[in-house]
Amino acid sequence: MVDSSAAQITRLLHDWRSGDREALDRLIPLVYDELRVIASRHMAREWRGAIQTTALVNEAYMKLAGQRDVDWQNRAHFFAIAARVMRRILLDDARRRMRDKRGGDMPTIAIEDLSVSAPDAPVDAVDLIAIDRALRELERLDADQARIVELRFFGGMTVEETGEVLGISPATVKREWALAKGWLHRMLTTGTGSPI
Amino acid sequence: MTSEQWQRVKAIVFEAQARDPASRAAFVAKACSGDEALHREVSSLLESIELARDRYETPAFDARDAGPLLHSVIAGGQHDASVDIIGQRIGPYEIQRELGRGGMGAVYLAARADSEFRHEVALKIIKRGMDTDAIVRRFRTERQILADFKHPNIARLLDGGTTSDGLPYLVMEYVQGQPITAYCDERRLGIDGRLAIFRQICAAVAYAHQNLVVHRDIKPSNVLVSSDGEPKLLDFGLAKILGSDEGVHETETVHRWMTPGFASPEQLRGDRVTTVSDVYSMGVLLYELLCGRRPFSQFETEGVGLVRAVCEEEPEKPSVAAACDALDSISALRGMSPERLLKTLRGDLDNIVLKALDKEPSRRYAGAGEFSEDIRRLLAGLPVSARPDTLTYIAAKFVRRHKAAVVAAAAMAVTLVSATVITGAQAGIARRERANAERRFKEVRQVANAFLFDFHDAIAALPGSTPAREMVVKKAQEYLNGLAEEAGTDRELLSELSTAYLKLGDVQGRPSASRTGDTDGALASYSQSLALRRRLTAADPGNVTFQQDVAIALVRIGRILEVRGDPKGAIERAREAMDITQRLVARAPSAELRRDAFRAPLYLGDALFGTGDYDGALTMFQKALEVAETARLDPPEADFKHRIAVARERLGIMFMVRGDPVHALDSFREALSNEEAMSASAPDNADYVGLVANGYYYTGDALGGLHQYAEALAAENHALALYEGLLRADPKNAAPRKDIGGCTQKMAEILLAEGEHASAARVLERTIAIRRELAGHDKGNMEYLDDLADSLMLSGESLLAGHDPGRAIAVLDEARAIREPIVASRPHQAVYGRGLARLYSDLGDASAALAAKPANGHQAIDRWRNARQRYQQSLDLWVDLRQRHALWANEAGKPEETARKIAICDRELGSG
Repeated sequence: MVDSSAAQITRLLHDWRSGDREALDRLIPLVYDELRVIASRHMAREWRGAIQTTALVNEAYMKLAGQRDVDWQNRAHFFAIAARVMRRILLDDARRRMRDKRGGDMPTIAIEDLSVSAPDAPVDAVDLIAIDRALRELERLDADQARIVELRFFGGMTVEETGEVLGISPATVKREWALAKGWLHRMLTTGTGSPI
Repeated sequence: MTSEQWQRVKAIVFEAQARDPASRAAFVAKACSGDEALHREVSSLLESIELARDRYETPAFDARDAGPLLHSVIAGGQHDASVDIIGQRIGPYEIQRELGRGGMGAVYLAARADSEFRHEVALKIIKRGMDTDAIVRRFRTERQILADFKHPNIARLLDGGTTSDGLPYLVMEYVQGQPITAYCDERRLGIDGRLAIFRQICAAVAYAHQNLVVHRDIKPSNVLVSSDGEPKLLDFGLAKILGSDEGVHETETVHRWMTPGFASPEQLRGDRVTTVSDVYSMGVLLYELLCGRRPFSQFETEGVGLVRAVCEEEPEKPSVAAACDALDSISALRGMSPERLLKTLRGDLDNIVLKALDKEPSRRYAGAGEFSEDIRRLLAGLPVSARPDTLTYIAAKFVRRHKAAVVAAAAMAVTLVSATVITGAQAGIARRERANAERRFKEVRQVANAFLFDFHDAIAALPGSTPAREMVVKKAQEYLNGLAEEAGTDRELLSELSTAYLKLGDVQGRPSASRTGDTDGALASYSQSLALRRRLTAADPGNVTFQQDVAIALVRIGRILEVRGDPKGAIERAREAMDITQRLVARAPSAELRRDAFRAPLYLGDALFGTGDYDGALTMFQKALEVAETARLDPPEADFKHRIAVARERLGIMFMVRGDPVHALDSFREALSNEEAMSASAPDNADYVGLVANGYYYTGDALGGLHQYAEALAAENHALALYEGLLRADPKNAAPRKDIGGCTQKMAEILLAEGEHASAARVLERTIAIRRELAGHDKGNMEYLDDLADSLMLSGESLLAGHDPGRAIAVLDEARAIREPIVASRPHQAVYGRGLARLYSDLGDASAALAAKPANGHQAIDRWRNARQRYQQSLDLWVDLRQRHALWANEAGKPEETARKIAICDRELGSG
């Protein structure tokens, strides 16, 4: 069973790298289930400790793609998908928690609700929803940059890995990342995309 | 802002960052050259970059509080990679917002776009990857049935179709509410309240089942309760629409598809799914409502481990599952104290839930209606139908019981000693010796004739003759022993003597004809007979009659040994007898030999059964039936019906052992009809009456196994009336008394199953009294003692169920005192071992129940220790039985079940 899905994953990753966008659609469900299972197991065991995104995704990768496949490129792309999936997982959770608080309707985030978190403070539901919203704004403006945010913030990928997936140099990644963060932060704190 | 503008902004920002801080501002001003807005943008961005430098570096997942994510991750559904569709139109509906995600896809709130009145529906879009065509096809088939569903507690399926993306969608009644588990927890609903809501759901499920629709995916998220307390079942019939075609069982799909923990064993295995599969899922739901956990949660929450557990492990009782670390919060969510919660769950509620969770579909409630009814009885304070294993078939007991009467051919005429004329060979004896010999021979003949005339089987079969026999037995014994010493080598004499001993043994304790119970004496007499006959075959090896005689004696001895608790010896004898008779009947069949050839495998089967070799026993009984059929001549032999009845009855017993009461009932009924025919043709024959009584007894037992309690009791009452009649006719006879004990025991079991505690208790008292008396009289008879222990155990179990563990322990201890020595001296006999294993388990339960009562800490510790000790003893026995492959179908999980009880004790002792 591992074999067939490993082959499947590898093939899909390959297809996606070659530009087949459909492959992404098919990959995500497979990855989603696996991540879900692994994450829940991690949670159950260490549920007061810190869980590393990379460890989680790595485990999922080992499981799905098979240990034989140590192709760097495939792994990096897998992580890229995982990033998108993680984003979805986190957002689903955040929305659920917000809904529970407010009893049903999906909330619109008012500025007063935003809390400007201290550096590295736990990110809570409100933050996540806001970040996601902002990220979608950024996507309209600059898709590549938004992708970097997704890969790094949701996927826990390194600068090198991010560069590999997007086909840009680490220096570029760093630069873009810094700017994206700045843009996001401004968006979150002032509620505006830009003065222009 | 446009993209180009943004690119420009970026370029300036990056360039500015490359410069040192001092010259940065100047650069920016120059680069923006007059564009105020641009300048503002770049400046603010640069500032924000600084502010955000150390932020967002920790990935979101790592930084979060892990707790809440756990729930979302586990409950989270499939991602369908679809673009946000809120606001879009699907068919005539407009999507308003997402309601949730599930295994099939996402559900949205939608409203008809073309309608005046705002009519809200739930629109479920099925995820990509499921076979669209097949789904749409099946939907069309099912739609008519499902659309016609009208029940206040079932959400209706309204419409369906395909989106422009090619995804199938279903439109359902929009139900606002919480999953039933959350609803109950939030309101701290007590057990009564939860049961009330659950019963409403039962009604809905029953309605659907009447319309031949199985839900297949009952789980909390499919049972929503609105704020006014009305529960509604969602997704009825969807499982069928969305499931794969029949016959295609892709494990991956199945497991991904089903909700872990709610799917029944047969669903997980891919077997037929029926209405009772829904009953199972409802059982899981009730389980969670009652104790806050799911069955088998201690194995895994999903995946292969859970599947295995559902199919193979026995679930913990809800009362036990609740008694975990989280007991305080579990009971708080039910608005009661921990003690009260456990008390409420224990007993009937536990049993009701477990019945619904039975791995064998036919043993669950037959439908949601029955399920609900049992709960109603509980709430009304009436007894329930679900019982712990008191109806477990203790078949060996019945075989033992009825070795007495079930054995073939009570009326078989043993080869009667015919007058043998002293041959001339003896002419050479001296006159004095001849006179002596003549005298002796006459005496033997007298005794033999005495048996002939006074104790011919036909006469012996009449009721009331037992006291006469006692007298004769005594006299005959003395005389025959004297003769045997002087028998010398006179073969005829020896032969007649051996027969006389055999007949004597018959009277003393042959467990077929009406008798006093003296198995010791019988064994001695039979052994004498055998010894003589072996001498004869040694002296005249070609003599067929002598060999036949040996076989006959062997069979007699085997039977007695079994009754006395020595099945190995019995097996030995029976095998040898079978070898002999087979050889003889093959060579030159006769009526007599056919009869013996029938008995031999029968007895061997009995003996094998006693050691737990059920397969061997079954083979032997089938063989006996075959041989019996050979007597179906025209006209059939005299006791043909009798043999058939006996063989059928044995087979029926084997079916019960295998947990197949349906076939057992067939066999027993056929046996009974044969027996009634026999009795009808010979109404004064007490043994035949006994056979008919047995037939009713067994029939009642199989009916009880099928939960047809009224019919079962009727049959048992019929049997009881017959036994009592026999006892009245011959008050000193042990056999009917024993049979009455067994019959009343069975009635007590049935009454308990029906919840008639008071009646059952009365009947049990009588049973125990009878069995005590019997055991007191015939101390060599293991059956009597074991029977007594059985009744005591049943009494103990019912006391335990009635929450009186103190008295239960007293009664169970008495049973233990009886059983322990038996098992110690006969470790190879499965029937005794299993009885003791159950007994230890019961004692453990009683101790545990006592420990849970308020008491000082010391007492509680002692009781837990005691319970643990008993459970360990039980476990040892179960494990032994398993290794010997002597576990019955419904005992397969006993070792694990017991191990878990031990774990609970350990926990109590650890925290104490």
